[in-house]
Amino acid sequence: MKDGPATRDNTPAIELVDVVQRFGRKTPLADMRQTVLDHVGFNVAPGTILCLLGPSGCGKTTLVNLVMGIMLPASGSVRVLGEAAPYPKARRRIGFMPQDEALYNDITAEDNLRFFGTLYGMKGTALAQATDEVFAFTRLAKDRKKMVSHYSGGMKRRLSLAVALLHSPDLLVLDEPTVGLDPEHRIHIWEGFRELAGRGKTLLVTTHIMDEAQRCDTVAMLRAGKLIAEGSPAELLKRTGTSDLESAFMRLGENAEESAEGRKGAGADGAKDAGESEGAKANRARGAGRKGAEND
Amino acid sequence: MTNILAIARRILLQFAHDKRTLALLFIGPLIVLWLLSVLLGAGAYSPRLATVGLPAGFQAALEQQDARVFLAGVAEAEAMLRDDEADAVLSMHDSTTLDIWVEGTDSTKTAAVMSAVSSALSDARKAAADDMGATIDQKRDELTERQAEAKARQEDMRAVLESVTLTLPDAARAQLPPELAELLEDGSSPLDADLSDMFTLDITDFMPVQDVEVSYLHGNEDWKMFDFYGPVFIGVFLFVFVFLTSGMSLVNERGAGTMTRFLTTPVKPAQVLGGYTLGFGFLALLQSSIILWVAITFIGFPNEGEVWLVVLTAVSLALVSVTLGLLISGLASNAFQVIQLMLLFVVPQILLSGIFGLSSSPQWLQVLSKCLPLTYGVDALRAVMLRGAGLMDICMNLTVLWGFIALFFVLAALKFRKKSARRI
Repeated sequence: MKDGPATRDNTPAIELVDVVQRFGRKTPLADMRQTVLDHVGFNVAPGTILCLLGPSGCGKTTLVNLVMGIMLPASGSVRVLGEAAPYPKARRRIGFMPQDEALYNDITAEDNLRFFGTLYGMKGTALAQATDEVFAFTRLAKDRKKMVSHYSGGMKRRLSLAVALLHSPDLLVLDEPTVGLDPEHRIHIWEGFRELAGRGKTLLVTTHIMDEAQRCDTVAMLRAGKLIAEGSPAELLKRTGTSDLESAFMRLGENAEESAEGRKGAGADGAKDAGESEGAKANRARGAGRKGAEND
Repeated sequence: MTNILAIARRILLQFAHDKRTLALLFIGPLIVLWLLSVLLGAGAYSPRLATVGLPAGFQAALEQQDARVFLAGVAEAEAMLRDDEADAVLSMHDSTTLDIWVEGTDSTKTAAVMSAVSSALSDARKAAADDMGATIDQKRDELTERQAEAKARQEDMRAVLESVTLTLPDAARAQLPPELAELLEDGSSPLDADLSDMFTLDITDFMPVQDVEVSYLHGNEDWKMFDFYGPVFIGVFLFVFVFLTSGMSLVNERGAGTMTRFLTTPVKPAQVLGGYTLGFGFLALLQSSIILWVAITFIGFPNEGEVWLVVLTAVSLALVSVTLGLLISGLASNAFQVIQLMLLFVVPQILLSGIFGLSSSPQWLQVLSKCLPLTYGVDALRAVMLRGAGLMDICMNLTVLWGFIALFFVLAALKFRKKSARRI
């Protein structure tokens, strides 16, 4: 992979080290604690697209929320653009598209963009120009004066993406950006993502669509809160000897289960090792260089 | 500041597009205020009285009152009372004691009966006093007349006696007792005394107060219950509406996920709260101005003071409500719970704000009412609208209100920051 032109240094855009997140609490009646992320660690190099792939409920959104500083991890550390939450300086350089629309339905699309743009410190012609650009990119220009409540689901997704892109952030965190979009828009938007990465922007995209994962530089596979594999799509295919990412995901999932069971038999220490899975190992290996090396 | 303005602008834009809410924001309170004015502005209830064998004078006085009086027999009157055709039966207990038998379930009706009877009694007493005074005057005149008559007779007799004495021969005259000469010499008579001076029987000596004349420091005799409650309700409405709209707006933000997105922008918690306070403060300014204008011009709210002072108080009250809403809306996860929170945090304030007089309630309740912001707002509104108080008179109340605003704002900002870090 070539270096992005805007890469300032070698610090990863996102750096997750051994992150654990739990929800619920222990009460005298029942132990409601639930581990949602189990020792997850990976880095995202600047100018690359990392795709977080996994089925619903595997912890993708939790991970995104941790990256956005909406939550703090139970243990481990999250650093974004070299800063820890609450990102006093980095905030302005992050664009976020949450899973739900997160738009104001009772004002126009334009007013939505204007509002969020102002919060990012934009104003005047810069704001107007950026607004035009993102409307053009998301193909909403002719509907910009419509109330968001009159938008279709797909249009709302695109407007939500427009809000995330508005202040041309260096890091984009997109939680399922293409859900509910028709193929034509999806392809157009992914072309846009590639172009952004080419300009040195970093993207963290979650999806459960294997086809989209194929378009990323790195795929991080998440299954039941554990990182079961990480690497470029080609590497993952090669490693599992499969022809598509879907089969690769299934194969890796089976492997992870087997190894977990095998180690459970070996004792408590083994179980702890299982928690520190390939992701963590890969993370350690990645400390040296930008591109993750296969360490298997 | 840009962020605060942007947030306030967005809130106002949302309301500007939401015509229905906007209309309800003004029409709702106005309809209720108008209903209240009709309900509480109606004159006092005129009681229905069944009378049994009352003295004619008292009966006449009763009929002069604002009451419907029915002459009835004993059994008939009782039946009327039981069938709710009369509110009270009036009869004579003995020759001088009035017996009032009230229906008794509705205290306003009982009070109306009592008021009618007591004012009839007072009228009857006044008539009796006038009557008595006239009788006394008449007797006095009669007495003076009789006295003059007696005096004239006496003079006549003296003249006759004198002339008789003069016609007597000197010898015979010398025989007369000297007392007679003295009597004839002395022209005075006990009848000369002005008996009317001695006769000082005056009704005022026995009944020093015979009539009542009322004058008003504030208001006039036409002020109805509504006039006293009107200002309270304006304050209460603003408080409730602003609490609901701001609380729900915040809950909606959380529900729609915009709050999450909000918090990933470089905006600071205090700016979010500031934007909300500003936006809803402006909305409250608009709402209170229009409501007050309509209430005073068309519904006939009393206003002795200056309108801007009323608006200032109303907006201060609304800001307390916004900041309180921001502080506790974190406890609600949907709109329904906002209403439940209102029951918990706003309704007690309304009850203790002065709608009901607290002077006879327990001490702790009075102290509690002094700890609630709405009490100060309502007090200030009443002071301005009923007593024409100026800025200096209510500055204490306003200071307390702004103290509450600052307190709630700071608490909300502290809580917001804590929550935003670990929000789920």
